[in-house]
Amino acid sequence: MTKVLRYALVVGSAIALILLFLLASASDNSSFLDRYFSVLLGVTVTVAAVMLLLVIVNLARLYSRYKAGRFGSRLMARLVLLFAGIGILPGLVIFMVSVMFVSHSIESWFDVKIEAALDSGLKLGQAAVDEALSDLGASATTIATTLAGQGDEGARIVLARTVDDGMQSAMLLSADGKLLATAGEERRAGIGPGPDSDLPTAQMLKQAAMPGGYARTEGASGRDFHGNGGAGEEHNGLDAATGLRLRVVVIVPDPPGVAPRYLQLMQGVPVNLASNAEVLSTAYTEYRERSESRTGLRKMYIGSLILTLLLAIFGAIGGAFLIASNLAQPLLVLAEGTRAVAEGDLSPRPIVETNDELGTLTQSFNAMTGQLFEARSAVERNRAALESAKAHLESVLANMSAGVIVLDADGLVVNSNDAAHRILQVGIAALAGRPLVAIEGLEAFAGAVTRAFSAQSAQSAAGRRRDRSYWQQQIEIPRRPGTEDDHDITLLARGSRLPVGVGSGFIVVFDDISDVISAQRSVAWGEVARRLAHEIKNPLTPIQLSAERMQMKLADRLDPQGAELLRKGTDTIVNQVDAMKRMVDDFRDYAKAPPAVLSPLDLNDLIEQILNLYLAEDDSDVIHAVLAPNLPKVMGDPTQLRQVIHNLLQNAQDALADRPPQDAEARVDVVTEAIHYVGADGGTGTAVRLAIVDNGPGFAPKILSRAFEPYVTSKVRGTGLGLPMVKKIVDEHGGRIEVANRSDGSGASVSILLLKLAPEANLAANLEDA
Amino acid sequence: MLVLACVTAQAADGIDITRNTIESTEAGYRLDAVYAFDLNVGLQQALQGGMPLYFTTEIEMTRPRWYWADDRAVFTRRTVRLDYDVLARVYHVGVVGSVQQTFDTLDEALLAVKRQGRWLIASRGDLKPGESYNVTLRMFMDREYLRKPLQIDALNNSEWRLTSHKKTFTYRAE
Repeated sequence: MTKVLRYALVVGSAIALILLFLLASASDNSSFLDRYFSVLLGVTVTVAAVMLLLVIVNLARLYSRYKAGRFGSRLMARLVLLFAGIGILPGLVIFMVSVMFVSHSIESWFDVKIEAALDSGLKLGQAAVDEALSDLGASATTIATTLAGQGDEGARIVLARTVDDGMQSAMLLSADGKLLATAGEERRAGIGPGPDSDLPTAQMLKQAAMPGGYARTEGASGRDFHGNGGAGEEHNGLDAATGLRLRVVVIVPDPPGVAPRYLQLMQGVPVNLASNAEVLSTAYTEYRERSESRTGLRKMYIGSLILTLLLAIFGAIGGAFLIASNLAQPLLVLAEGTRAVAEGDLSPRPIVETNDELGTLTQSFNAMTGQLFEARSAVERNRAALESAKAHLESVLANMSAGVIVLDADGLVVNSNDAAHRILQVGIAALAGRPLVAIEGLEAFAGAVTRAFSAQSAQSAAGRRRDRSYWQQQIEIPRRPGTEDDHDITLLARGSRLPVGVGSGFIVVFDDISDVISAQRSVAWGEVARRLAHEIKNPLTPIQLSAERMQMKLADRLDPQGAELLRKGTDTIVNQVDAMKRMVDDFRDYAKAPPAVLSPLDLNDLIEQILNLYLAEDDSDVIHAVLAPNLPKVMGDPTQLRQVIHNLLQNAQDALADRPPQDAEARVDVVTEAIHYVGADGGTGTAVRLAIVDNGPGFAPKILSRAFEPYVTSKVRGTGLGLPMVKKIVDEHGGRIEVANRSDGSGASVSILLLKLAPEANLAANLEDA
Repeated sequence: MLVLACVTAQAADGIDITRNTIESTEAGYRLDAVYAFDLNVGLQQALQGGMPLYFTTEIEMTRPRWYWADDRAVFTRRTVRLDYDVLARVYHVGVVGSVQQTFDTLDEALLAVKRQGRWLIASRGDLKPGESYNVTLRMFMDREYLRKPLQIDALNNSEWRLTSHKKTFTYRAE
């Protein structure tokens, strides 16, 4: 309920109360209220109508809220019904009783007996007055008879005597109403106006001429408006009090022929009769009036009662609204609060400012939500901490070089890191939620892992090797048939079981150790080469010497044909032995390369010296040097580095020699540059990079992965020791070497990163940077 | 006679204004009006029980003005009291605040009410000669003077309601 409606109801009730009070006071006859009764009634009805409107508006609002299922409307409706019922029922009972009471009591006031008594009393009064009037008439007739034939003087004496006998006034008048003789009390007393006012009218005279004469009771009127019209009745105090006097006009029985004369006698009604008659007639009038107005009275009472009832009902309903909303308010606040809490809003509710149970309830409710809020924020904090820890772990897992795959108890992949996808060369989506066996290309891996776990389980069951909770195994995975690279991937995998408490499963960690295997292969080759060289070289000299000797000794003894054959044979033997010797020397050199002697070296100078041998300084040159100025000096063995550059340039030129003629112009770029990097210790470092890039056909994929292994070559007549040699030298220099095909697919690029710089150069470079 | 009967029949439940003329005299303008009505039984009984009845005549003269609200030149009312003296058994009729006449019979008294004397409604200066005035005349039994319960009763009891329609006519001031 809005504030406006509430205030309107309160004000309306107050006004209604005042009006009802006025209305009740109006039932007695105060003149002010009598005058404004209709206005009062109208205002009351208006107020009642306004309150009815308010109540209807409120009820309609409540109903629509109830229909719409608005929160709290049901409680409100119940409370309103309850309080309204409590308010209305007693009022209704009182109303019924009052109506019955009023209807019956008003009727009972008016009784036929009383009416008859009053009628009789009135008739009695009338009879008494009539009696007095007829007495007066009789004496008038007597006096008229006495007056007959007398002159004005005689008549005055008679009249005076009459007045002395108790008559109020006596007059003798001519036919045209002229006063002939008069006698009266007031004249004697000398008060009051002249007798003109008492003169009979022409009509009276006319009536007096009729038989029976004129006889009237006068002066009963004029009670309500004294002042102007009542002047005639005011000349006597007694008359004024009673207002009753008798007037008789008779014609004087004069002998015929004489102008007719009239006698008027006036006499006040005896005081006690007059006052009693007056009281009686007043009472009679009052009674008749009330009897007439009893319907109105009943209407008035019942109307007042109905108005009261209506106002009381409306007030009760309005009050019910007020009380209900006051009562329901804290409950609604609480209910709203619980709903908000259910929806997760733990902000404090407005406190109901009462010190009863409802106030306590809201306070404790707020305390509860406060505690909930605390608890929830603690949980939130913990969750955030956990999440950040988890995120850190995941980041570690994702960025570690080893591949990790987590399997659940059924062998489905639960989780895997980026390295796993890179190593296994499968998509992330392909792994999640599927058994390893079902993933294309991983059947061998899956089988090996499963077997390894089974073996470990068997070992555990056998009770042995309890100290080791994981297995370790080297797994070969065949390359996918679709890829160009057909080399197997060699993995070193470790597997362990997750503790049961965490959720049983398996975790497999694996590394791509193909490079390690390759390095091992190089070392093995070197050893084999050294031994073979040693073993092969020993018999070569005797073979060569024997062949030369054979030619020398036998050449003369043979016929020319035979000698020619011999010469060819021995030449072949000698040549082949020479070739074999060179090859063996190569092997020996590879295996027994002297350790590098590092000294500060300007790489650009070295390259320029070497290029002098290759360049003709004209347009036909295929080699272009792009040398970075201010290149810091590196620590290096000039001889060995020279061999490296020679080898690489030779490779490049060999690659370009095979290329088809329709291709673009052959080109080899030799590039040096300084590389700045951030070291693991956080400090900046500088390295020198040497790149030799050609636009030849590039490395075959098969070669690329094993380019640094000895005896791997794409050339027809190569030993396959060039790149391994280069690699070996670069390793000795503490550098890194990378071979790759250019990203656009045309040509190969070999890049050497020399990390060891001359100390002063490093210093100088650092100074330069500063 | 027949016409009169018709008029009385028509006036059974109300007051008819059968004549309404305004006369210009030296003292001012006077209304000469005749009303026709009958007292119903209830009213007669109330009257003869001693209850006074009041009849009010209300007259309003307005001059239409096209540019403004109508000019109300005259608005006046006069109330006539009719009552019965139960003791003396005579009827009194009189304008409230003025002399009253006495009649022996109800018919005579009613006749005095129906044919009231010429009533000075406006002095000479009140009306502009030559102008036309709309006159609204109304005669009714005045409930203001009734006792309160009777007023309430009269609200929805036609027995206590005796009133004429508003009679409107035009008068050209002389």
